[in-house]
Amino acid sequence: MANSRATNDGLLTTPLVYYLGTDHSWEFTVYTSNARTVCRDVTGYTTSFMVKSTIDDADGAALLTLEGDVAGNFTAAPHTNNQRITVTVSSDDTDTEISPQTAFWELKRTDAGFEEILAKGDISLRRAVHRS
Amino acid sequence: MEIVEPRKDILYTALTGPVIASTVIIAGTATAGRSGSGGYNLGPVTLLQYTSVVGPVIASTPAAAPAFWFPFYPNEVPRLRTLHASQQSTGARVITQEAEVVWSYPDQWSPQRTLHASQHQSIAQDVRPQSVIVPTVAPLSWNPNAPPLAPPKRTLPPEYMPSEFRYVGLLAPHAATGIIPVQVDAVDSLNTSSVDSVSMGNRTFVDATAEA
Repeated sequence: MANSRATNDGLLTTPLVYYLGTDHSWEFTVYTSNARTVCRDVTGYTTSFMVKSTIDDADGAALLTLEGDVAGNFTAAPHTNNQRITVTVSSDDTDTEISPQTAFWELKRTDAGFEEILAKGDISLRRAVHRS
Repeated sequence: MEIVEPRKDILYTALTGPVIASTVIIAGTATAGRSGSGGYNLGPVTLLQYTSVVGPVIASTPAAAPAFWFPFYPNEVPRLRTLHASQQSTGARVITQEAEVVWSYPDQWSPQRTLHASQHQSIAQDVRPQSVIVPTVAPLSWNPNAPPLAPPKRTLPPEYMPSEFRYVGLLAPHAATGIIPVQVDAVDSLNTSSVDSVSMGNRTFVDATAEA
């Protein structure tokens, strides 16, 4: 499993864990580079968080497709920046619809003319004891 | 064993949420380091520094450890509970918390058997409210190698080497704001671990960058 480290394309690859059938949010801090010394202002960004079983799956077959919400006060300094892109998943969307597996996730800016990948990695989708 | 220069991986986050008895998971990844004649040794993979970026988390003992950490693997369930809280005459509100980690692993001599082990540790924290948050240029830090705060070393045979390694710790958020501003530096002597994310409750904090 990959570390949260920059790949050759400069992206940070981060493994995530999610228990199916639970409410969860992922909160992304976006930096200007993988050195993570300066934050990027993502005010107004439209973003999509997608989870697929395999990279080649059609977008329509994605296990999860969620919109990100930008909130918080931006400062360039990491230790004072409170701006996040938050992606929230509801337990109702995953309790029976998705089987446990290791899948792929990606956070992408989807504004026309500015589309870019912001983060990616694999995600361990695990079965919780409760089914609902 | 060759000791290489420690590698740092830093993740900033400002945790907000439940004030006391929150389980904070710092998820990182550790890969096996080769030791001696082909054997593997997981440890020591140690979270060497936890730093409070914005002021002391614990007013009375800012130089002391605000947390302690247990290493655990993905299939392990750390349990955290508050033992008791008391108000002292000095105004200090002391919370004693205990964390317990229970894990299971195959018996290397008899793989069909599953062995169980646990470890627990308690800490008393003065969580009296602070009236002012004082930003600090030089972050406060503590030495996790000082007992009893250092995570226990756990060594497993190579066939049971986990691909993921996580810590659970106790943090006392600022009593007035409920915020835990943290900077996490994960360093290990095998140069194999990194901080991937920090989770508290049902929130996970992740770093992102645009492609170069």
